[in-house]
Amino acid sequence: MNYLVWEIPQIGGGMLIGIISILHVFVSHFAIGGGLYLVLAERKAYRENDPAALEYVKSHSFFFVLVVLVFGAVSGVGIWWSIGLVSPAATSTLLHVFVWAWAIEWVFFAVEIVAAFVYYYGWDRLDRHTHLIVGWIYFIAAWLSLFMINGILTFMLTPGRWLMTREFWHAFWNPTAIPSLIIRTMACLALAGLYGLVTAGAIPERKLKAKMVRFAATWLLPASLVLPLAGAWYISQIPPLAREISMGDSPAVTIFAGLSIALSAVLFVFTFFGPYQRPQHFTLPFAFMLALVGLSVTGVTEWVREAVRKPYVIYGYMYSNGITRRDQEIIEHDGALQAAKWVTTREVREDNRLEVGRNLYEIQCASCHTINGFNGMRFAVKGWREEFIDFQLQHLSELKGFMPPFMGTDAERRALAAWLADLNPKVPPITEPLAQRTVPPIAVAMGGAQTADQ
Amino acid sequence: MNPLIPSPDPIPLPAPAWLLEGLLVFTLFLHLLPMSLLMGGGSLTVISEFLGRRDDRHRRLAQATARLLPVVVAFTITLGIAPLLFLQVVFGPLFFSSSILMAWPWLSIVGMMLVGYYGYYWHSFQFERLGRRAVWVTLASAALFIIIGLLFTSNMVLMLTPARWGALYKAGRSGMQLGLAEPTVLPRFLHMFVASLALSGLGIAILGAVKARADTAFGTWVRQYGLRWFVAATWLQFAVGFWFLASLPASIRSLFLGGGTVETGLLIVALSLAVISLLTIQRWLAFGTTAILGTVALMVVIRDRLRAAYLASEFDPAKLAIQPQMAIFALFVLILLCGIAAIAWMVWKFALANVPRTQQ
Repeated sequence: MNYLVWEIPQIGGGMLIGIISILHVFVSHFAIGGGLYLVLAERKAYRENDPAALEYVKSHSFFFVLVVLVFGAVSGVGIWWSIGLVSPAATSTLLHVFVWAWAIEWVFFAVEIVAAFVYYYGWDRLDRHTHLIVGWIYFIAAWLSLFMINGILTFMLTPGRWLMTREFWHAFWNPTAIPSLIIRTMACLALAGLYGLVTAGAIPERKLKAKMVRFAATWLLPASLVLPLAGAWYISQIPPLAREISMGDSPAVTIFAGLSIALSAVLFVFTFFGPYQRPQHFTLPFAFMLALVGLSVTGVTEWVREAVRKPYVIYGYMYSNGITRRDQEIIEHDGALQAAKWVTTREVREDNRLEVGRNLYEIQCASCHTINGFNGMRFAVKGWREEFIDFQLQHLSELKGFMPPFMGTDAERRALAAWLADLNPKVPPITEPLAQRTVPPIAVAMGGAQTADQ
Repeated sequence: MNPLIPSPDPIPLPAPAWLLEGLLVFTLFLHLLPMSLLMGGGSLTVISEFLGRRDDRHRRLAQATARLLPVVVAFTITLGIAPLLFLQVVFGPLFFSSSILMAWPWLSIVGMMLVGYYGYYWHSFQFERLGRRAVWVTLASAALFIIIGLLFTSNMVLMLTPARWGALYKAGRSGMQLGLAEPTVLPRFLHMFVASLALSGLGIAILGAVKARADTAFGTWVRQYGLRWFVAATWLQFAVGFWFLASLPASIRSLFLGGGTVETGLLIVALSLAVISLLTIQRWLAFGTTAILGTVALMVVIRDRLRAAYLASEFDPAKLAIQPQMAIFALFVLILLCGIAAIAWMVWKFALANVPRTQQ
């Protein structure tokens, strides 16, 4: 409402953020667990006085640098870039509530980056003891950056007491912060194991390979034991509506939530009976398959976490379309066109209803919907008459609990209904038109449709 | 005030605007140092690689700088996060609006960064194997980072000129604007680019001074070669800088030409330091370097004053609501000091152990 919109044809903004985020999460959690993996594997090689194992750790660290320092860091910037473009109002909220938390996170990130470089370039320069300490600094700094981000991320679904107090610590230590931190930490360890399986699976020498494969597989065990408990704790803390959405109310979300659990189970079972029990038979394609399942778990889980937050982007504070509860009051008083900044018109007339509708679509719908692509409006209202669309708009929160209510005057709502109805060929009326029907004459509709089509 | 400028965030700033702007200026200064080495260093590496086909000294120099470029990228990105954070907190309504107008080009920076970064890694680790083809990898990466620089300049100007927004938005909501058609964008970018060549030349000179300890002839040559770039680019900067100044709107330009005491004073001191640096750097490298870093620091402050002049009637950070979170700010400062200590310790250990363990 306050900001202009960026229309992304076909996929929409949410999907764009989703693609970047899932890839980032998959790599960044590895970046954290992988740090611990490197240190412990290096220490193990020293203790067992196994130069071949040490060579493996070195080559794994090269892979680690290329994946983590480059892709992990840049894709993290990519999330920030994309949320600012797609949801500027929500991004601004997170920045204002958490400026110093972000600043602290940045310090940890900087330490992490320097430590990774010193660790990687220091293999032949530093003594063993110092090298291990640098590895520990890397892991601790990386985990602390997760610790900071986790508080901010969980705030979006469960802002808790912050809604009343506006206190920083209430926002940071919100109801899901700790269970989520446990879940993410376990995911870090599991992903470190999955990446470790890829590099260990590529070791040519059989005995070393078996040893390192089993070592890597062990890293999935803590997650398989702790995740069910931490997951139940997490779910007990999320808002009731979010729980309902993920447990039946929204079929797509429910299926994905189920997939998250099922795929995790598959991953743990296959890792246990495969690389853990029979490391000598482990192959690289199997490693890639497990990594792919891991990526899928990451993807569906993050997707569900985002989806259950609807109709809010910051629960109880800001709707998915960037309109806050406070804005809502202003809109109900003055109308959406008056309250918004980037609109092409500020009044509803008989001859500009499609233009008004288009503006309202941009302000209130376009953050989740596209016109023709993902969550496409043309498809969603196909076969609906204008009166029916208007009825739906009046009862959005009852009919579709995961959608924000329509906010605006009656005339604005009818204009949005007219614009939506105009996306498809006109549906022939079954009965005589109602007396109060407000469909504009077709000539006006065509002439007034300033930007109805993409 | 332009009616399109979004209202400030209803949540108050967690610190006075001057503190956040001060951190913005300071961290931007830190970011500009590796950023300059990245943008200019990439170009100078390309040149040395081409010259290195005939001149072995250039080949060795290119190999040395190419090895450093991935680290320089990492520092540029890491040190770039903080100023962007403070920029978004204080100037969010302007920054988000201009970014959305050029959403696709702006987002593409992330992809270009990724490809350019991998390019430098590839080049660094496969320098020998790539042979004569290596230069094309550097060229591609260097070109990507120069385009990123141009897009940054474009956005930084677009966020200061809300009067242009309406027309650009009317042209489409697809975020395809580049915002380049504004008379200050090109000189402003060239100002940054020429500065990056000068600072990279200086960086090469310092590299030469370090190399001279082990290999006097080569190190001395590198030092002289780098200084030639520094001196030539800095002289050129007087022309480019004045072009940039001339391209500014008259009311803003006059502030720096006597109209504003602070603005004019800062500019005079910055230019004097640059002249001092040019005159002394051949003889006293450390002194000349300090002087030019003073110029860079003052230029960042001048840049902040320029922004304030652009926004004078549009947006005043001092008027934003404040609700200080000083306890968390103190925690940030404490953690920052610990972070700096940890980084210093690691770098110190690394620098001390300058003999590879395998050769001991």
